[in-house]
Amino acid sequence: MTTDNKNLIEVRNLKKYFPIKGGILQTTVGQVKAVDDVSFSIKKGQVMGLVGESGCGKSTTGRTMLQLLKPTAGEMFYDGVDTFKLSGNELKKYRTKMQIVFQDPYSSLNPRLPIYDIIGEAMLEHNIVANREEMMNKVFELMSKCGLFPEQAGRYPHQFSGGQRQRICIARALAVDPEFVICDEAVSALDVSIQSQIINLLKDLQDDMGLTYLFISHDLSVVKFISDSVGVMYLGEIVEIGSKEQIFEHFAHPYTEALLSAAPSFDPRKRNNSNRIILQGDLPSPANPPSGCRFHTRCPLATAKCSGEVPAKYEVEPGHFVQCHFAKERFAKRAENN
Amino acid sequence: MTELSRDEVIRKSTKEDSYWRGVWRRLKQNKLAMISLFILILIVGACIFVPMFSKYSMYEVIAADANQPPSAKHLLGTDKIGRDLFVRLFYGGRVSLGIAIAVTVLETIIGVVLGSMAGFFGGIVDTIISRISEMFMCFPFLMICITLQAIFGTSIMTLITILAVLSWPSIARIVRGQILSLREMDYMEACRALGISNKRQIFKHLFPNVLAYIIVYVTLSMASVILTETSLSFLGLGVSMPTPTWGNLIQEARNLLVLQKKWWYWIPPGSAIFLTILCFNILGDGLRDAIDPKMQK
Amino acid sequence: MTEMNREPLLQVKNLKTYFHSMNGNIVKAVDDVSFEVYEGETLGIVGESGCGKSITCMSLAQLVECPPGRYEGGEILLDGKDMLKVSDAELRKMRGNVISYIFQEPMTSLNPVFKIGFQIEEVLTLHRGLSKEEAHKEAIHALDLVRIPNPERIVNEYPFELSGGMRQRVMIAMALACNPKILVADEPTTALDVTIQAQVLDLMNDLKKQLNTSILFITHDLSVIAEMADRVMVMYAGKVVELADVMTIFENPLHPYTKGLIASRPDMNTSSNRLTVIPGNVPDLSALPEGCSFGPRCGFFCEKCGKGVPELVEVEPNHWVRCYRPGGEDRDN
Repeated sequence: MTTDNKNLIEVRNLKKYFPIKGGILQTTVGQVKAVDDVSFSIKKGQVMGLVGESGCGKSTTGRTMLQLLKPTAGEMFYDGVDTFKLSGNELKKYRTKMQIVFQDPYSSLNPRLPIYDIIGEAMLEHNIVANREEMMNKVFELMSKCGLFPEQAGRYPHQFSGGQRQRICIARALAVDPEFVICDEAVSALDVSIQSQIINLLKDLQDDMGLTYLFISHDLSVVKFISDSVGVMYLGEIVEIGSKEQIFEHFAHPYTEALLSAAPSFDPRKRNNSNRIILQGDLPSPANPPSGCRFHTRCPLATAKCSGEVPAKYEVEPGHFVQCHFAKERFAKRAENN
Repeated sequence: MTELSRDEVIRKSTKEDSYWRGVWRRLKQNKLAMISLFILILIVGACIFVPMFSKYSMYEVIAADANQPPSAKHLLGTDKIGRDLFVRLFYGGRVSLGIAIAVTVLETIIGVVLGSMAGFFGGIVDTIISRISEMFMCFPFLMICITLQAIFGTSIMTLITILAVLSWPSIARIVRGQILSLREMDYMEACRALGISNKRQIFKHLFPNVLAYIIVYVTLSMASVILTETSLSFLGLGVSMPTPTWGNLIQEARNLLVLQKKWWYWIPPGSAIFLTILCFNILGDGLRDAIDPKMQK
Repeated sequence: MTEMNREPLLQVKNLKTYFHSMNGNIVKAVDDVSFEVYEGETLGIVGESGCGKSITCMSLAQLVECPPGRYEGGEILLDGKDMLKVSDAELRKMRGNVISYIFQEPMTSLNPVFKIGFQIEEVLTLHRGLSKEEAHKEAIHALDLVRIPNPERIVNEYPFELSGGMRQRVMIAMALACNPKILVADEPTTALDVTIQAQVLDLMNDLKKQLNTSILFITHDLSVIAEMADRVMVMYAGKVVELADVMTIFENPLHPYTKGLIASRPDMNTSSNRLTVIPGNVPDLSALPEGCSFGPRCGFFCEKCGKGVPELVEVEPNHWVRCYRPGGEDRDN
C-alpha cells in the first residue's frame, strides 16, 4: 500500500441542507440539515470508513462530494483542486477520477443494457478508448479483474446474482480509471457468504491499482476490517474521527462507545454482557435536531451544559478529534486506567 | 465454451437474450393476448383488402336492392338507399381505425415530448406543463367537442386534432411519472457520476425504459379512441355521412323498428367494435405483463 | 441450558413445502426439514437468502400462499395437534393464541389506516373475547410491557407516527398479546439500526424470561444468533445442514458451510489482511446441483458428494450434520 503523506481528498466544512417545502405556494418552511459542517481528509491509497445509523448523513456526504447532490456550502479538494468550483468540461474530467459504488445491486444496473454496454459506456464518453473493439477488450480485462467471466459480457443484468451484479458495478466504476472510489454500503445488501468475497475484491483492487476509498457503512466489523481511519457520524455531524485504532481501541465519544457496544458480538460467551450500553429512545429527526450537543437526548452522560452549549471539536491525541464536552476528562481517565 | 471466440459468444448471447426478445417470449406464452393479436391482424387486413376487391364501392347506390337482408349478392345486406353494407362495414373500419391510429400517434408525440420535458428538467418546466395538463383534464369533453366542431366544422381532420389535443395529458403524466421514478434509480445516479452526457442519458437509459410503458399505453389508447369516435359519430358529432365509420353505421339503426327487424344494420358494426376493443384491451394487458413480469400475479 | 429430554413444544417432522412455477418447475423451498422447539428456548435459524428459512416458519401456521406453494408432506406437531391437518377454523384460533409472528418490515405489517390501539384491541377481542374496555386496558398494558413510553398516548397514534424501532415493539406487543406458546420472529431486527437493534434484542430476551415463551428466531446475521439463540439450525438450499447448541455451532462447527460462514465474517478482532471466503454463488433453487447442494462451493468436495445427498446424522450427542465428510474427514458410515 502506498502511503505517502499526501491528502488525496480533503473535505472542508461540507454542508448539505434539504429544504422542507410547505404551504400552498410550496415555499421553504425549514431545512433538514443532512450534512452539517463536516470536514475530513483521506490520504492517497488509504481507506476511510464512515459509520453511523440511518439518517445520520453518511450517504448524503458521499453523494454531495461527487456533486450528485448540489452542495449547500463547503469545499472538496481533490489533489489540491476544489472540485465544487468546477463546471462543464472541467468537472467532467474530474468525474473520471472519482467514482461511486451503490448499495443496491439491483437498481444500480440498467436492466435494458447488456453488461458490455454498462461497463464500456463511460470509456467511449470520455474517449478513454478509441473504438468499440478497444472498448470490448478493456471490458473483458475489467471483468476478469473483478471476478466475472468475460464470456458473459453479452448478458443482461437480470441473469446475474446479487454478488455478481455488485462486481459489475465495481467494474463499471473502474472503467474510467478512477483513483478515488466511494463505496456507499457496497456490501450491505449482499448475502453473508458473498460479502466477504466483495470485501476481498475491493482490497485486492486497492492493492493492485492504488485506489483510495471512502467506505460508508453501518456495519462496524466490516469498517474495522477495511479502514485505515474512521469517522463516526451522528445527525449530520462527525462526532469522532481518528485512525482505526484510535476509534476502536480508545474512543472517547459516548456515542461511539454505545455504537460499539450495541453491535452484537460474534461470541456467544459474551452475551449477557452487563457492560453493554443500551441507548434509550430513537434518533431525533434531522429536521429538528436537539439544541446544544445533538446527542444529548440519548446520551447517558448528558448534563445541563450539553443541552445548552454546542461542544467544540477537541483533539484528544494527535489526529483524534472528538466533539464532546467531556472528551478530555474521559480520555485522560481511560489513559490512567490503562 | 472456450471453443467460440469471445466476440461470437457475445453476439450469440446478445441475440438470445435481449430485453425485447424476452418480452416477445413472455407475450407468446399468453394465449389470450396472442389470439387477440391474431384477430386484430385479421380485422386490419380485412379493412384494407375487402374494399379493394369488392365489386361494390361504398357510395354506390343500387336503388333496386334497397333494404335487403343478407344474401349471396350482398353478404351483409343493404341499407335503405341500397348501399352494400358488407363493403361499408370494412370501409368504415378503415376510417375508424385510421382515426384511432392518427389520434394515438399525435397524442403520443405531444404527450411524450411534454411529459419527458416535465420529468427530466423538473422545476418550473414541470410546474408549467403539469398545470396545463391538469387544465386540459378539467375540460368537459363532450361540450368542448361540440363547441370546437361547431366552430371548425365536422371534417375528419378536425376530429383527429380535437381528440389528440384533448387526450395527450394522460400519456404525458405516465411518461413524467416514469421518468421521475427512473431518475431516482441508482443507475441514473451512476451515469451522472460517470459524467455521461444528457443526450446519452435520455436516449440510452431513460427512453428504452419508458418505451415499454408507451407501447402499452398506445395499445389501450387505440381502444379508447375507437370508442370515443364511435360515440361521437353515434351522436352525429363525429364523421358525417355518407363517409361510413363503425359509429355512424350503428347510428343508422337508431330507431326501434330497425333495431327489431333489421339486425344486419347494427349487429355487424357493433360486433366489429366490440371485438376490436376487446382485443386491444387484452393485448394491452398482455403486453404490460410481458414487459413487467413483476406485475404478474 | 434447557434439559433435552422433555417433551418438545413444537415438533416438525420431514416438512416439505414446494413451489410449482408456471413453466412446470418445482422449487423445493423446504425439503425434508425436521426440528424441535422446547418450552422456553430460542431456536435460531440461520441461512442466506433463498435457503428456505422463512418458508419453513411460514409453513408452521400455513401462511405460505397456496398455490403456488404446496405442502408436499411431513408433520407439524404443535401443542399436540398436526398443524397441516387441523381445520381452517382451528388454524385461525391457533394463530395468535398458540403461535404468533413478527416480521422484518414493521411498516407493512401494521395497517396504516388504523390506530395502534385499535389494532392490538382487535387481536384481543377476537382471540380472548375481551370487551372493548378490557381490551383497551390490556392494550396499554401490552405496550407498557414492551417498554413503550407513554402507552396511553401511543394507543391513539397511527403507525406512521412511530419510528421503525417503536413499530417493531408494537408488533411484538401484538404478537404477545394473547400469550402464545411460541413466537416466530422472522428477521425482526434486520431493518433496524444497530442501537435500536440492541434495544429490541434486549427486550426480546427479557420478555422471553418473563413470559417463558419459546422463540423461533430467523436471521441471516450470525452475530445476532450468537446473541439470542440457545440452539442453532443452519439451512442451505432448503435443507437443514447443521443443528446443534449455540456453543457447538460457534466453537466446533462441522459442516463446511457453517465453518465458512463463521470464518468469512470479519470479526471485530480479525487482524489478517484478507477474509476467508466461500467461493461461488448462492444456488438457484430451481437448478440445484446433483448430489450435495453445497458441493460446488465446498472445499472438501469428493466423488461421493457429487453423487448422493447426505443424510442428517447425529455425529455427536445433539449435534446433527448433513455431510459425508464433517470437519473434512471421511465419515465411517
